[in-house]
Amino acid sequence: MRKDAAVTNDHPSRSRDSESAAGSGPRHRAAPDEELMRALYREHAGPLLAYVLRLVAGDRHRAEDVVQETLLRAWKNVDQLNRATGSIRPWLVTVARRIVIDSHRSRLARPKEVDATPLEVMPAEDEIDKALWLMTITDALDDLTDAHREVLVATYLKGRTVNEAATALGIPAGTVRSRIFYALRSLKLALEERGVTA
Amino acid sequence: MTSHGQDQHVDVGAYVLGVLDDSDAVVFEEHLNSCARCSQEFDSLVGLGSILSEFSASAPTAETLTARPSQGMLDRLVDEVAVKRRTQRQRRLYLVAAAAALIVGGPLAVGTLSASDVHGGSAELAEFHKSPAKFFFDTMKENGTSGTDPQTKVQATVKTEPKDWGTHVVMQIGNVRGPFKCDLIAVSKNGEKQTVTTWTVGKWGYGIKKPTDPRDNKQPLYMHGGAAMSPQDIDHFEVNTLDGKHLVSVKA
Repeated sequence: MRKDAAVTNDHPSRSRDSESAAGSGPRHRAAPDEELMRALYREHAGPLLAYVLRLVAGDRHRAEDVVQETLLRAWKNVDQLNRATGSIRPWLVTVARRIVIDSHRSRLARPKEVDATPLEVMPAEDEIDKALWLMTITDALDDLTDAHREVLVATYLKGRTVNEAATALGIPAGTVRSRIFYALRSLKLALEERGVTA
Repeated sequence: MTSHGQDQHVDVGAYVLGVLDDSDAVVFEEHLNSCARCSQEFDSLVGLGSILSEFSASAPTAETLTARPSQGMLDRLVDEVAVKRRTQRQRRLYLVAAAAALIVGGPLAVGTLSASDVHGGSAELAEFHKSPAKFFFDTMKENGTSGTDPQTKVQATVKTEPKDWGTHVVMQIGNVRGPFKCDLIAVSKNGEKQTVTTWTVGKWGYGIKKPTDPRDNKQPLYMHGGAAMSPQDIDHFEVNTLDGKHLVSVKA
């Protein structure tokens, strides 16, 4: 099994994650399968979790199970995936969605169909696009420093004003305002690197 | 908390997102009307607002926005990989054994089965070519049965698998010293005898337990062959020299 472009071609490693990978890398050089799994996790686990959480109404535990199963299947099918050109993310999205649907069925204890109808299981193209878009935004947000991401979450994403967020974070409002500004600039760059124009 | 001077330019970020407090927003708007630099920044950043808006609108919970996979997930994945890799290697060995079994009867076909025909199996295929019998012995699932003769001290382990044509028999034999020729006999429950295979044991023997000469062979010998009986009809196996001396018996 080779670790090659198909699993790493999406983006350069995000700095936050590659630190932890660098720490554990050399010890595992002897086990290419494990290296491959780590690469899959590093590149895709976060964005995939962001997508799957939206499929399972924010159920964290369930979403983690789905992501874990999806990455395992990717690893098992890596020969096939390596032959495919481009990103493996559409594949990941399709598989994750299928796992969610299947587990939902068994939860409802309905008799399982011989095979789910392809229409039901195959996500529509725009749904894949939407999922890939979500994953890209997650990648871009991951590129931000913790401090920058924090102010965006504390204000806009949580529906707070600058002054409310400053109180919540315990930092001056002026700092929040300037961090938001630089966070947005970085985010714009990070999105442009990924072909998303704001 | 109004910002002033140079600092005021950065407020365009919070303004674009609509998170400035009302009084600050009023002040900034005045500034924006007269600041070309801020107008430009506003145009450049305003699209981010709608992207973040769509991103957060799709999140069912606030926690969704910042959720990151746990370290535990990575640990579990790596553990699974370690386990699966072992079983996959096992599976590949069976695959090679299965492929090899197809060509046992036809040496002419060997050339057409290249290493790439067998998924990931080039190393395994090499092992197979080196000693098919040892390969079958190592890859057969069952543990087999063993016997040691109290007189001759010859040891043998036999593994079998059912076939349409009868029984495929694989044997490991050791602590045996020739020179002589011998055979492996399958004995049915009603006493019928069928020869599975014959071979020669040299003076340096096979699987010698206590070598007395450096040339003594410590490696056991692997042989395989077939019998035209089904496994459940076989009572035991015997190894005899061709001149009739009994070496060892193994229960089927």
